[in-house]
Amino acid sequence: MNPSLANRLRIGFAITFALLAGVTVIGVGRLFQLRQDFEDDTTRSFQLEVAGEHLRQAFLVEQAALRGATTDPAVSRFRFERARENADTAAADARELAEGSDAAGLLARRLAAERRWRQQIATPLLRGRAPPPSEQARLAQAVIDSGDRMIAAEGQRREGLREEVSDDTRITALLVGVGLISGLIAAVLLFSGLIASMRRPLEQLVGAAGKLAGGDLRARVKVGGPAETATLGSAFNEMADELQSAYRRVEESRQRLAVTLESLSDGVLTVDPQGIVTDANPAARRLMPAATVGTSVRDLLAGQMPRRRVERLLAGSEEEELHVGGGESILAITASRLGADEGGAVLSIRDISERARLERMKDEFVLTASHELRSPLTSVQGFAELLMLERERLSPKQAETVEIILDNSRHLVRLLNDLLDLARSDAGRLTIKPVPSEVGALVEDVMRTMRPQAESRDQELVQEIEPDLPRVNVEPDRIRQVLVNLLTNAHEYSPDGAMIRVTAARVGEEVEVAVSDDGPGIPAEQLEHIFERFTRGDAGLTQRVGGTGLGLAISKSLVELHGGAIGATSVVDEGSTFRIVLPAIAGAEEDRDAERVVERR
Amino acid sequence: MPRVLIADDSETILLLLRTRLEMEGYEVVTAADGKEVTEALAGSGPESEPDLLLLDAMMPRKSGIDVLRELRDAGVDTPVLIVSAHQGREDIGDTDGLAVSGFISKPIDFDELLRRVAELTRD
Repeated sequence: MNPSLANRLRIGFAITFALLAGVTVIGVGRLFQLRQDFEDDTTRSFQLEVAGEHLRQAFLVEQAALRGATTDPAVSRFRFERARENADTAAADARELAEGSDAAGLLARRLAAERRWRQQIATPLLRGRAPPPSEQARLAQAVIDSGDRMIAAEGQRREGLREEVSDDTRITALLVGVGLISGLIAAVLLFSGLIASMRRPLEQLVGAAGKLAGGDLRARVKVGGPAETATLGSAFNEMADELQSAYRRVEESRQRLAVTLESLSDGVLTVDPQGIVTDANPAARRLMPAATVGTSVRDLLAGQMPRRRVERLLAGSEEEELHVGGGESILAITASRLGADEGGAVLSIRDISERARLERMKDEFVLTASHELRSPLTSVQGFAELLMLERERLSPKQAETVEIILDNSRHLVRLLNDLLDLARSDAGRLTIKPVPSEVGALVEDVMRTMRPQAESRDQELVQEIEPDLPRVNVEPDRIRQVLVNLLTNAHEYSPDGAMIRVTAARVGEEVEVAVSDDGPGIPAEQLEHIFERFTRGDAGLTQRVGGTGLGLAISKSLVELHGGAIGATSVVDEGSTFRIVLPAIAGAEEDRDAERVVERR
Repeated sequence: MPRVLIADDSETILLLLRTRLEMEGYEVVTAADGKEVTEALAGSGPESEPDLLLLDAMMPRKSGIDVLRELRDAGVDTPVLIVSAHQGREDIGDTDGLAVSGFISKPIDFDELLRRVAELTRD
């Protein structure tokens, strides 16, 4: 584990600080001590001097005490003793003070001199024997001289001390200064060393980051230096690894996508938010050679589709069909919008010529087959009718047989007509000739037609037609066909005595006709599929030969062909309501005999 | 007794129509295709001229429409009912200027057929 920079720094600074503090403390301490010693010494010296003076004084008093030795020995002795005591005390003090110093020697000589005087002068004097005055003077002088010498020496010594202390102080200060400076230098060195130790790893890191940002995903650093940069270094390496593998994953999936797009048999075009092609896969280039990168999809399609449909296509809501190559091939185009950030869309193009061809073939087949069936049906029905005309000549059994043949042939005819309607509708060939018509009148016609049937089963037909309904553009026969279909269903699936209500009302810009019954109702699962082909209600009710299972599917086609809509609601055991809405004629504009063909979406 | 000429490529239909019309008292002449129509008309004198033609729109070689066109061009102005498997006029072909009196669609609603025939053969 690399040592941490922070730790090193801390340690370094701690040491430096300790060093500096130490130097300072020691320096200051030493200075303090020097001063203290100097003061002590000086004080001692002064005290010694003072003691010396005391000695001197005491000696003088001793000498004085001896002056009357010859005349009054007792008094002299007494004074002398007292003076001697003082002198001894002073001597003792001085001895204490001079202990261990140079002055001790001089003091010793002084005291020795004093001792000699006492011995040779004082004692004899006190005993009455006076030594020669020259001797007295000499020895006395010796004492005083040695005392003075001592004092003088002390004075000199003190001078010397002062100088010494000065020097010492200067030296100490110098040393402290040197110590501080070296401490600071050490700190600076430490700091630069640490920075240096960081610099290289950081430079590496900066360099590698730059390379990474520039696109070189292999950039890594050597993990080194103090712990912090080492951690940073390995974190960087991890990040770069992660980036590299993420990039690789993205690249792989991009490649997969690219390969998929290349190999698709459907064309894929990517367009930007302005509708300009940004990418086209090989299939797209094949199917729509004009859709090259940089072309505008709107321009491409403008000639072949109304603007409105182009916009709807690009909005992603519809599948549009495009006829290219002079109608030879048919392309189905759908668009999916891309996410909010990018905008734009992906267009998918499929060649449905084959599908269209097959559908056409199917439609042709159904149409042709239906036609082909009409002649034989004509024969079957016709001859059965002939037989029926002669039923008196038939046995009851035969008559019944013929009736069955006739009923079924009629059923076949209805089925055929319905199939044909649907086939024509699918093939886009169902046409209507709308004229402005009164909905109320149509409803009444149909009610009239249905009344006998309803009454035969005691069913009540009620009509509620709103007054002043706007007219609608419809082919009357066809709408009647739809209404008959709805009423027939209501009649068939309601029990005897039920009520069937037909209402016609204005709803906004449309006219709504509703047929309600209170029959058994239709369960939700059936209701979902009720307008599909060949679905019928519960067969358990009435297996009436009449129903084809196509009635509602045709009604739906017809109503939608008129620009309207059909729907049903039902509650089981309560009844059902079938509604159709037809757009009302707005204002006074009416198209007469406008022919409308199913728009192939 | 009005005479009706029926043209259809199906023997069965011819039989059917003949039986039904004869039951109502009409005289019936049949033709199986366009050629026989022309022959039948050519071979008929003023008394045996048909009063009404019932032509099937789809016949081999010459369709009912083509036959009609030829007849009209030749000045034959007998009323004509076109019988066709098509429900709407639009699939039959262009009948403008051919003076078609009506269209009967298959399967044939005999009530309607008889009604039209009666209308058109009323003198």
